[in-house]
Amino acid sequence: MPRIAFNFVRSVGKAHSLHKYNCRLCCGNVRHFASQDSSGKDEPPTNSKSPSDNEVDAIPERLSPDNKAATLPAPKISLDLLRRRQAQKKDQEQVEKFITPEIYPPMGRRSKILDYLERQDCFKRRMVMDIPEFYVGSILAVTMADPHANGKTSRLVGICIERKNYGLGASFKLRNVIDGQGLEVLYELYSPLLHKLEVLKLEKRTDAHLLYLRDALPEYSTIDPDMIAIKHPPGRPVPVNDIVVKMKPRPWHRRWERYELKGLDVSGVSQSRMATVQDHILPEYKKMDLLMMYPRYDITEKDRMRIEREWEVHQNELERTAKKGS
Amino acid sequence: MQKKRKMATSWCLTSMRNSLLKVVKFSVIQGRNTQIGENFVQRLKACTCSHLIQHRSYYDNTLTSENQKFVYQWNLLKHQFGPSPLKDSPWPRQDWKPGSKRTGLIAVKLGMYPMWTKSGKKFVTTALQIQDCNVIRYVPPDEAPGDDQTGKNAAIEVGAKNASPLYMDKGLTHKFHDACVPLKQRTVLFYVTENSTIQPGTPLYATHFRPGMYVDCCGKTIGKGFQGVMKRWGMKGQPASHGQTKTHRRMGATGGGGSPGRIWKGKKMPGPMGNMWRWTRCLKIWRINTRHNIIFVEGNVSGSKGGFVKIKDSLNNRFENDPPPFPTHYPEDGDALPEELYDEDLHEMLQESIAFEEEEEEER
Repeated sequence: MPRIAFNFVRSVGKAHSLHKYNCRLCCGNVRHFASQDSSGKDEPPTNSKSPSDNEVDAIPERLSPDNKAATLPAPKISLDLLRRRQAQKKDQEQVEKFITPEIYPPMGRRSKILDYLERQDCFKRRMVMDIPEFYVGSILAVTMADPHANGKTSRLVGICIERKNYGLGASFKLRNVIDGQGLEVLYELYSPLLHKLEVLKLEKRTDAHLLYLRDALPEYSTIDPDMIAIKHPPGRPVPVNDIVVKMKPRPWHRRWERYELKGLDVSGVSQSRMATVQDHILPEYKKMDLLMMYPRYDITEKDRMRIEREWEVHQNELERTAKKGS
Repeated sequence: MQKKRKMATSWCLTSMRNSLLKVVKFSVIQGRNTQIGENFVQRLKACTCSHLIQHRSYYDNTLTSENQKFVYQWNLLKHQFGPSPLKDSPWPRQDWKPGSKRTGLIAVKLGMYPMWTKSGKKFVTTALQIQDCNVIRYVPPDEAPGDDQTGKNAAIEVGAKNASPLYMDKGLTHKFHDACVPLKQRTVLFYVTENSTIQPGTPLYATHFRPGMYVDCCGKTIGKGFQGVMKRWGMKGQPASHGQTKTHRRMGATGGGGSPGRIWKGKKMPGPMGNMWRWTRCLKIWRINTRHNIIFVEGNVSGSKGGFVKIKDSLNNRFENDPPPFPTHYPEDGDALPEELYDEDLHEMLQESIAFEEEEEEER
């Protein structure tokens, strides 16, 4: 019996912008617009093998009363081909366009003209140097101009543990353990000293940052400097690595058990410490409180659409120049 | 006593009248009861002391709400068409010569912006936007309120950022009407030499300056309120323990003994801190955006975002080698400038990534 791909229930963007906060009212798997953070908080498919995660409790097409296709005979193709086509269609539906996080301005009273100029400068730099799509948890190799190094460039391979800041000041941290010594380097994305940014492995993690790797066992931060790039097939969704990391014995740099992080193993923390955790975490009802969220959601729908439109125009420009060059 | 009482009642009446007027004005703007509103205002004016009342530059309250909107917009625009050609013939423009001083501008602080030099060094700049800057009047040396240090210099009054006529005192609007410019939120007097006269009404742009010039910027520092002596003057205070009774952040001694027998004037004491105009000198201009009239100046400038900043030429500029646009930049002269003007040491984002060249090995 061939498994037919169920349609995802799409939320209509125009309906109301706060729909994403009410997502529990509609059926579980609802698609929202690309949100500000590119961490694994959204619902792309994970590495876990349970099939029920990616299916929707929607009415399948063939059973709906208006569907005339139910009366037509099934097409004559092999089962394998059908399954492959369905898998492809599913992947295509799930892949959302990547919008780099550093073009969304932070909260506060800001000059829109200045933010616009900063974004334009970011796009100009991207025309000269390719800044690929990457997330916290991806493995990168950065080649940077260094006046004191041999060949005047230095290359560092590491796992991205943090991405910060808006516009030209956007930065990311790479972590690696070299000869037993942990090493973290902060790079500025738009610095003209950066020559090359290669993504050796494109993946996401379940947390917005991986600063806890400092207190985790070194094997989780060790990356081979001569690692060969694992090519990510275009059009496929970015995989989420839901690995749970084992920690070194205490003391830690921070009380990671209080941070609501999914990627680390807090089983070793004593009961007395775990009891205090609830004091530092917002209760569920406060997380769903719209009035609490509203002043934090500083960017209006109109501005967000404008920024995304600028990104689109920039991407088209890039494609056009790439075609011309090739 | 009687006089004081009279003043008190009149003050009470004016404040009452003003608050009542606000209510009346609101309802009038809504378009309701215009007749009643007018009568009420007239009666109120008659019974209170009119000599103490501030005369606001209102427009006619008998308009409908749609017309009021139109009149509001028109009021902001009506003087933006440039100086009236019939008012005065164009003033002659003189050339720069060593020792000339030109006018400054008033800008609005937008925020901060990172930049890189051609050697790869990162630094931070402050973005200052020139919003609706116009010359309000030229004051000849005889009338200028100079002091002994500046000598008898002429002065130019510059105004920035168009203001709403509804919220400006009518008595202050005459100088803007004389110059045929919209009402401005802030005006500043800059001392200039006699050869840098500019006709009132001339618009001033960011291209008055050029990248590579040095400027002094004056902004109102962020107010800290009433502060103690340790924060305000950096005094050391007293130890936290070892017998100190109720004395940890105090001034301590105030001065000498029987002679002089008093505290010297200017003694550092607690008081209001911040919210004062302060100059930051010799800031280099790295970039100018001619389309939005934004100047990018190296380093920090006092004040918060959206605050006014006075900008003028610094004393260390070497104008003998490269004279500035004098007395200001007139867009109708010469070719149109490109949208972005960069300093030669600045790395532009469309340029190639910076690479260091391999040095040849020195012969031993």
